[in-house]
Amino acid sequence: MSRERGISVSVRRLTRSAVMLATALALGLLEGMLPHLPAPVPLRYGLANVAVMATLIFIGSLEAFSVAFLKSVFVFMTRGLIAGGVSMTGTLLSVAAMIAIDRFLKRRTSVFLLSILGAITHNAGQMIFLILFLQYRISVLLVGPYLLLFGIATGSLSGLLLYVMMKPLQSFFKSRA
Amino acid sequence: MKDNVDVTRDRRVFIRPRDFFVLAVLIGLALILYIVTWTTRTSSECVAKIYHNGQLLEVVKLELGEEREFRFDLEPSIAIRQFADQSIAFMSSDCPDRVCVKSGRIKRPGEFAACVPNRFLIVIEGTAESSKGEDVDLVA
Repeated sequence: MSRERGISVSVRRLTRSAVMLATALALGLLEGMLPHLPAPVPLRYGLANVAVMATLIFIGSLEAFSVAFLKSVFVFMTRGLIAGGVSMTGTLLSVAAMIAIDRFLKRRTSVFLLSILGAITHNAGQMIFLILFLQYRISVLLVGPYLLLFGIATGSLSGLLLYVMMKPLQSFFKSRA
Repeated sequence: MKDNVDVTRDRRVFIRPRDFFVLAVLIGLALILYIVTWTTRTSSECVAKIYHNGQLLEVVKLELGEEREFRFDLEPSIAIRQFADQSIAFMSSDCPDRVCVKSGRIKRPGEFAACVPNRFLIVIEGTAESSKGEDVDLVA
């Protein structure tokens, strides 16, 4: 009996994670259709991060990491090695930072803090890839203020989106069906 | 049992008072970085450096009233245009996302536009930065 229950719990976690991965991919595609962010350096909105944060809050760290990782694997497959690499470093650094802060604050991190830290580390991770692997001559000091300020702006936006979606997400994750 | 723990994890607030402190620190850090780089940022003479694969291809002096178009044999689809208002932009590229073209015109030091699939990069630098490089030679 208990064994059966254990299996059903893990299957539920697996399917829920899969739904969140699909959401992350769909949000990533949607982001590609949106107009370019009016920033002096190329930055993204980070909509897919909403799904990763929801996974972290409602399911768990390992699942959030898997969703983020597999989302980047999808970018590898559809948009090539370099775009995949840019996506991978940004996403993994971001999810690692979010998991770390959430553990540190004993799962009481506010949505806002989680979201802006995720956005800033995501942007920073992408810049690290551009500078280290593609040998882009970008001055970190000059780009730094843009990364921080736009990270706060896009992070607040995705945090707000997640907070608005909190109620429907709660009922989705509480349903036993 | 474990699943019951999961559903209690979702009681999150949007923002806590201490988050404003973190926010202030981050904005402060951005301001400090902005002020530290002020001299290079405000230098009136700028150059646009065009890189491919980390190799410097061209240094374009951004002068008022000067308009030129750049094309490179190693990537014919890339067209870069220098405008009379001291700005520079990617005009065309065959990459799928065209983030480089959408970046638009850039002109202030520190701004950059990148075509990641074609490994092209334009960075704007103030000329104050290049004089630092000469100081190093002097010591040697």
